This record gives sequence, structure tokens and C-alpha cells, in this order.
Amino acid sequence: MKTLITTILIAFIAFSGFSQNFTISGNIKDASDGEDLLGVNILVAELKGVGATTNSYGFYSLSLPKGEYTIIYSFIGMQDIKFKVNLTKNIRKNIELGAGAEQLDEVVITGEKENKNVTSNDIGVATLDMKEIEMIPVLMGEQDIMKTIQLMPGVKSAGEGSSGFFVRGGGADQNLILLDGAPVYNASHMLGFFSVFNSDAIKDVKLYKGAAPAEFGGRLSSVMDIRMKEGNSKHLAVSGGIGLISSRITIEAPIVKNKGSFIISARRTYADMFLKLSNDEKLNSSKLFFYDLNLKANYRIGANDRVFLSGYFGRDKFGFSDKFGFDWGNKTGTLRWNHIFNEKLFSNTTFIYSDYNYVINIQDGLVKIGSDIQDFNIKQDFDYYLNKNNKIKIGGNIIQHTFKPGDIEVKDDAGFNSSSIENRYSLENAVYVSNEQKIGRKFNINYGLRFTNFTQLGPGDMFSYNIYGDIIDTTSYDKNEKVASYNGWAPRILANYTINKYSSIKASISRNYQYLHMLSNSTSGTPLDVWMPSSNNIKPEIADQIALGYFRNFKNNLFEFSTEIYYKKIQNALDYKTGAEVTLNEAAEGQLLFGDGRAYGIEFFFKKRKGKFTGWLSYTLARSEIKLNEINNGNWYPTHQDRTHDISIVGMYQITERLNVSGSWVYYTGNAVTFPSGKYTIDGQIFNLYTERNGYRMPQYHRMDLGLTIKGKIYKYLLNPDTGEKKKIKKRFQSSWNFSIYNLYMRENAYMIDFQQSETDPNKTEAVQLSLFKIIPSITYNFKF
Amino acid sequence: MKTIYKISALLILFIALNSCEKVIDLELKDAKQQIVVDANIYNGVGNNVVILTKSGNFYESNNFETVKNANVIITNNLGDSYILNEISDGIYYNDTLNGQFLTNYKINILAEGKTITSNSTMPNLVSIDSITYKKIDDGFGGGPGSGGQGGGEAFYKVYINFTDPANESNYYRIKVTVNGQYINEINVVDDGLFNGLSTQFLLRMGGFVQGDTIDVDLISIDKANYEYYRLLNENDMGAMSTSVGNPVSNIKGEDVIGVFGANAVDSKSVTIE
Repeated sequence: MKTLITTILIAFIAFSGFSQNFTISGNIKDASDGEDLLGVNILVAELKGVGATTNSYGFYSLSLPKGEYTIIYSFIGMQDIKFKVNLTKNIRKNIELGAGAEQLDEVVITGEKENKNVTSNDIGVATLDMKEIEMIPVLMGEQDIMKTIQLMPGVKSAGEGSSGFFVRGGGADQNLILLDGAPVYNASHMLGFFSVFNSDAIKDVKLYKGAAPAEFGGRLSSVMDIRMKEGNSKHLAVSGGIGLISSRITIEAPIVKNKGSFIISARRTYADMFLKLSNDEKLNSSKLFFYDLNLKANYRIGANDRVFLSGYFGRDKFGFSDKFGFDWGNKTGTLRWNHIFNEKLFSNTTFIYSDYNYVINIQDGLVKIGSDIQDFNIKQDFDYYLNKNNKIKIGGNIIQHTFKPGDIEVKDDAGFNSSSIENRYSLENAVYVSNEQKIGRKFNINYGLRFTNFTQLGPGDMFSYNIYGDIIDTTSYDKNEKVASYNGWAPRILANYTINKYSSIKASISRNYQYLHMLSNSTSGTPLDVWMPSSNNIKPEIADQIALGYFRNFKNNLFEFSTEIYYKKIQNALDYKTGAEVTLNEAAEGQLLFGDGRAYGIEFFFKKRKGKFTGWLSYTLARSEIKLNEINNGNWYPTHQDRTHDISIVGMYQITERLNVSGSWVYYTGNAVTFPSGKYTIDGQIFNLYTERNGYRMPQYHRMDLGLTIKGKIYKYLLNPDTGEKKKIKKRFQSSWNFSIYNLYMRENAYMIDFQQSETDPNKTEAVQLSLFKIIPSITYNFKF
Repeated sequence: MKTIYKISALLILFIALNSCEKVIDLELKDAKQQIVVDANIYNGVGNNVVILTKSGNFYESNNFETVKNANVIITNNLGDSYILNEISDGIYYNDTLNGQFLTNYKINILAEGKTITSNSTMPNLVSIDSITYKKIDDGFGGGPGSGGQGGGEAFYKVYINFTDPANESNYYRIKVTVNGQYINEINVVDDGLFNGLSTQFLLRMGGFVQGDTIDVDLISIDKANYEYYRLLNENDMGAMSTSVGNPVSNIKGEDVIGVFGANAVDSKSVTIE
């Protein structure tokens, strides 16, 4: 593999040597805090349609024939910089772009950059502006990228207050959530009411709903690529917030000015502090909180090398005195080395660690239950800017997964045996190559191929099962002995045909393999959900997706509209046997069923992007189905996440510079669920009689939230004693109050429906709906300096 | 699993201070009516009962129709054959049937023109070593009258002690009767966690009070019965479960559900003094 990459690279380098072109390359940063700017457009005034964008580390490279050019650097919300260059040799040009807000009257708006949504070949991509996240009202005032992204088309909330989400009919486990490249296996705090991502530490989020670029893979439905801030490399900056249930603080500063910086961001909830105030001994010895810690540091070594170290630690803790304790959380670590070989070749070497575990402690250690999943990942990526029309990416990675499905540790006097479900080990390897190619001025295509291999390794006793899920045979394997191995070719093509400045047609086709499967007993997801590797019993899930989109901007890019239609076919789609027990069960694999899946739908998105009033409307009409021989007589039936209609409306109105109101309204069809169609009696008790799985719907869900943000004084005035002139300057200390109301019109949305004996007439049964969060007002104070 | 949901529910309760529960008018389909077989035989003479009822619609009353005038025959692999007579509507019984350990029993029912069959093997007896109780004074968990908050009447935890046979899989069902009142709560467990051990099994999470007389049946059941009752126990999880459905039944026949078990029972009683 290594030799292959080297050969290809040498071929490219040799090839570029023959060209008559020269390259302008460099880094682009934010002038105010030194953060790398990704997705900056680099345009050439003299050559229409020629340009480049910065990659995730702010690096750009543009090859042009020898000549004189005016290079324009432009980024939304920032002032353009024009740079005249006589390109007679390769040039390194680093740029700092200033925020337009500081030079209110001078923002230059060019038509080119604002229609990026039309001209790029991003199809099936949802992005969020971190500034919008600050304004959109959320539960308990906790800004949350996971919640906000659920307001985009094709992305659906997994339920009331849940940070889990479904993309284009796929399950919550089919989303690859990456924080600085490290997978986050359980992105939920407190059963999903909050996500693990503290938005103060997040710089950028991008969600690929369909064909993700070839450097990503491993999940069927989506890739959520979240990048942490690098930290302010200009000066010390502190920001934070105090909310009803949690407080946050972020400190960022240069290590050496303009060479390196760090950021530390911490968050903790304090619901348990109120419990401490209680006189009740049981209540005040109870625990219920979570915390997050995000750390990142980066340092430039010379002009061509840069290292990053980032980490995330988060944990939920829950307990009743010493009787019962339950805690869970993720740890991730990323060590990254960026190296610029030359103006055309950018390299990125990454070591990634990720761990998710939970521990249940009963009776002060009498019984301890634990489970764990751990990854080590080595990743190498190259960006090669072949010429102005071709940008090649090539790379690969090796992931070692260790699964500890469950340990039960028991003290002698408990009357139970300690037991441990054997660890499982696997290797997930991938190599990829892709090229983003411009063909003429209208056509832009990104094609790539990703080859993956997944191997389950010993040691361990592997089982085989009969159709009832009973173990019928056991085979023992030695350490590193191959148990099962799967190969997968995952091609993808994304194409964009630009009709004119304001409209384009895009299409994509892609295949994805998923080798890790999350097993859950509950439709809402819990911290106890277990990840299992593909194995001798579980085949990889495979999804093929085709999508077609039309993108159109109106009124000089004031409005943006897009629609996408997709169809997805899934092989080895997974569902459960009736009454499947997957937690702490060594025979959990025997509880699974495999069949075919399909999902299709159409998405609409309409956004007003500029002006005092901004906002969007998104609508999805979709279907997601599965077919298993063993369930519902082998007929297609809706998956739990199947939802026919899903609407989100978001509006933000800037009343004055310091006052902003926002509102959102969501509506969706209830999830497909299993309800009884009758009842019967056994041993004097009443039981539900079922006829089919997922044959019913939860009631429709809708909700409106409102938010109001009042900023403290933004400017102060300095009086010039000589001239008597007043000068307006931006204050160092900035603050804001955020008020929000969740579920404004107190809709009682169904969280759970129980079927039980009637309280008024014991001889009858009734359906009882549990609703959470009837109305939740909240206040948050945010500051930065 | 249920405990986990209860814990989750508690967590949710902490957060959702203004959650609310209400009875809703949910439209439900009417399933095709099924014959429901609830058939059990035990070791010992006259220790058997077959109850035949019919399923009903969800919003109807719990007075289920009974299946009358059925022919119910139980045979075993030793060549014995017993006819069960209808002693009241839908209830069938034989006063000579004496269940034998490690014996396979077949049931054959002819009801409303339909033939229903099943079989089950009676496991060996596992005896109760003792029933013990312990006074709980830390108030945690709460006894009767304490509203779950403790501070009420002192309460007791009751344990059933038995020794699980090693080198085999055992499945148990535990039935509890308190002061003559049968607690109809399904309680099944396999020996996965205590294979071959002398184990102590806590009866119900709540508390018993002084003066209570507790009768305990430790019933050894076969795997099919264990699976049936385990799934039946999760039957009311409804929309929260990814895999809820009718338990896999060992009863064969058209439009029939239920279970037949040949069970080995040992009983003991204790009074809290």
C-alpha cells in the first residue's frame, strides 16, 4: 500500500514538474483571533471561473500559467483582500482576513463568493453558521450544534429533546460523528437532552448526508465533521456563560504569538447542587451532573510544519448515595501533524484515540458492571493541487477497535458469579483516492474510490447460532488469528453542472460500508447501547445512494433555494428478534436479524441569507423501510425512524444592533412504533396482543421555541481632547443575555405511550401518554473579553 | 432490562420537572381473536390446570371470553394419558395427573374445531434451602406506607436461598403469595450469573412488614417457558422497545397463543416475626 501511494505521488510530482504553471499557496487566518479560515474563496479577477478554496487547515494552493493576476481572497462576513501578483515563480502568500463587522461601512460584497452553494459540488451537505447557533433557541438555553442541525432538511431529531438524529432514513448509529477526526461513540449527555459538544469550543460543523468525500467512510448514512477551534493566537481571550443548568468557560491564548495557541473549554451542569440544598439525606447525597472538557493546542514549527494536539473528556455521573452509581462518557484525543511538502502537496498525519465506556456500581462495589469501546487510529492524508483544474486527495488509515461488551464484577458474598463477555478485536483499514476536477467553466466533478477492509481478530471463542439465536457451536481463535474478513469497494461521484451564476444541477452516487453496529433495546437510545463489530455472524451493512439536486439563488443571492431527491438501498440491514436482549448478553449476535432496507425522499430548503430578517424553511418528505423474512410475514415495513413529513421553520430578526429575536417551529410525523391491537390474560395478568412490528405511529410532533438576545454595549466612545472628536471603538468586554422559551404554546408531545390498567376502572385498559417539557423558559448570560 | 428503564425514567424525572401523564384516546386496530392457552402441570397429584380464554380488543373490559367444551388430553413419554375435565367455564383439570421429573408431556386440545398441541419437559427439582429476611433500617427504597421515601413503618427484605445445580442450564420462575394474596408478577431468571452457586434471590424490590406470611414457590421451568415469560415481562414496553412483540410460544395451532409448561415446584413459607 505504501509503495503504491509513493509511486502515485512521485508520478504526480514528476507530472507537475513538466507544466508551465506556477503556484500561489499559503495559509489564511482570521485577523482578529488568528483562527484558520476554512472554505475561503480564492478568485482570480482576470480568469473567470478559476479559483480555489482553503482546506480544513486554512491552506490553499492555486496553479496558474505565468502572468500578472489580481488574486481576490473572500470569505462571508469578511472584507475581501485583493493582491496583485506577477506570477513568475512559486509564491507563498499568507493572508489575514478581517471581520466585516469591525469596518461596518466598508464591507465589499462580490457576487462570486455568495453563490458558493450553487457552484460547489456539495450535494447532500448541511452546514451551520456558528453565529446562527448562538441565536436559535434551544432547550434550557444550552446552545447545541446537534440540536440545531436537526432543523436542516433530511436530518431528523431522534425524539423530544434528543441529540440523536436520523439522516435520510438511517438509524442514529449510522452517523459517523467526528470531533477533530476522532469518532464520538455516544454523543449524548443525560439520555440525549444535551449533546457532548460544547459549542464554545467548536469552530465548524459540516454534515454529509449522502456522498461524503472519499476520505470519510465507515457509516451508512452520514458523516458529521466537527472541528474544534484552534485558540486565539493574537491575544488572551476569555469567554463563558452562566445558564440555568450549566456554566461554561473558555480560555484561549497564544503560546507564542502568531506561532501557536491553545484553547481550554469547560462546561459543567449543576442540577445536583440544588439537590445538596435539600434536607433529605437521600436527595442531597444523590448525584446528577455532567461535565465536558475540550482542550486543543497548536504550534507552527517553521513555515511548513504545524502540530495540533486536541482532546475531549466528558462524563455523566448519576447516583443515589452509595446504593447505586452510574456514569458514562467519551474520551478522545487527536495528535495531528500538518506538513507542506511544497506549494502543491499538503500532508496531514493523524493519530487518533477514542474511548466510550460506562460503569454501573451497585451497593458500593458489591456489583460492578462495565462496558467499553476503544479505538486507535493512524491516518495519513495528502492534498495534491495538481493544477488549476484538478485537486487530488489520497490517503489511508488503520483503525484498531477493541470492544468490551460487558463485565460483571461481583464481590464474594453477593451470591452471583462474576462474569465477563469476551473482548472483541478488529482492524478497519482503508485507502482512498479522489480527484476534484473542473471540466470547462460549467462542469465540476469529484470522483473517488475508497477501499476498505475489516477483519475480526482473535483471541476469543466465536459462536454460531441456530435460527432461534441459541449458541450451537463454539470455535476458539488465537491471538491475532483471523475470524472473519470483509473487503469493500466504495466508489463515489459528485457532479455539478452550473447552469448560470444563480443555478446549478448536482448529482451524486455513492456506496458506503458499515462494520460497526450499535445494538439498543430502547428506541430512544441509552448509555447502555452496545457497539458490535462485523463478525462471522454479522455481515457489514452496505448502502448505495443516488441523489439529484437543483440549486437556485434569487435576488443577487439574497435567497437560496435547493431541492434534493434521493434513493438509498441497504444490504444486510439490521433489526432485532422479538424481545431481543442485547445488553450484557454474550449471545447478543444471535438476537439480530438481517434483511434489505430502502429509503427515499425529497428535501426542500429555502433560506433568506441577508438583511435584518434571516431564516429558513425546510421540508422533507421521506420513507424508510426494511424487509426481514422473520418479521411481519416478510413484508416491507417502516423502520422506527421512518417519518413522512418533517418541517422546520427558523426565523431571526435583528431589531437593533444589540437586540435580536428568533423563533423556530418544527413539525414531524410520529415515528413508526409497535402498539397492541388487543389483549389477553395469562396467570391472571393482562398482556398486550401485537399484530405487527412498527404498525402504528406516535402522535404528530410540533413545537415552537422563542429566543431573545440582548447584547451589552458593543462600542465605547473616546473623546479626543485636542479636536473634541468622538471616536467609536469596539469594547473589549462583550456580553449578552439570552432568554428563551422552549415549547411556547405548551404542546404536550408524546415522549412515551404506555398501555396499562385503567386507574379509574381496574377492569379496563388504557393508553397513557407521557409528555416532557411542557414549557421551559431559560436565561443564559454570556460574556467574552 | 426493566430496572434500566426505571433508572432512565428516574433520570428523566429529575430533568423533566414539568412532565405530565395523561390518558389519551389512541386509535387501535382490532386483532383477529386468538385462543389463549395458559396450561401448567406440576410435580404432585392434582397439581395442574389448563385455562382456555380468548383475546379481546384493547378498549373492551378485561372479562375475556372463555373457551368451553374443549377436549383436553395430556400424555407423557411413559405412555400415561389423562383427560382434563372442565370444572368451570374454560378451566380444565385432572385429579390423578401426577407430574414426574425429567418426563416429556404433550398436550392436545380440540377447541372450537381447532387442534392445538404443545409439549414440555419437566426439569429436575431444585429445592429451596431457606427463606430469610432482613430488617432494613436505612429507610432507603421505602417500605409500605412510606411512599417510597423511607421513614414509614420498618420494613423487611425477604430472600429465597437455593443452590443452583452446576453443569446445566437452569431456568426458574418464582411465585410469591403474601398473606394468602397471590402476587401476580412474572419473575423469571436463568442461572447465567449464578451457575452452580448457592444464591440468594431478593423477592420484589419493595418491602414486607412484620407479621407478613410469605409463601414462595421456586419453580424449575424449561427453556421455552423461560423465554416465553421473559418476553411476556417486556410485553408492556410498547413504543420504548425496539423489539416488542408477542413472545415466541410453544403452542402450535392456528390463531392460538399462550404457553404450556411442565414444571417442578418446591414451596416454602416464612412469617416475619
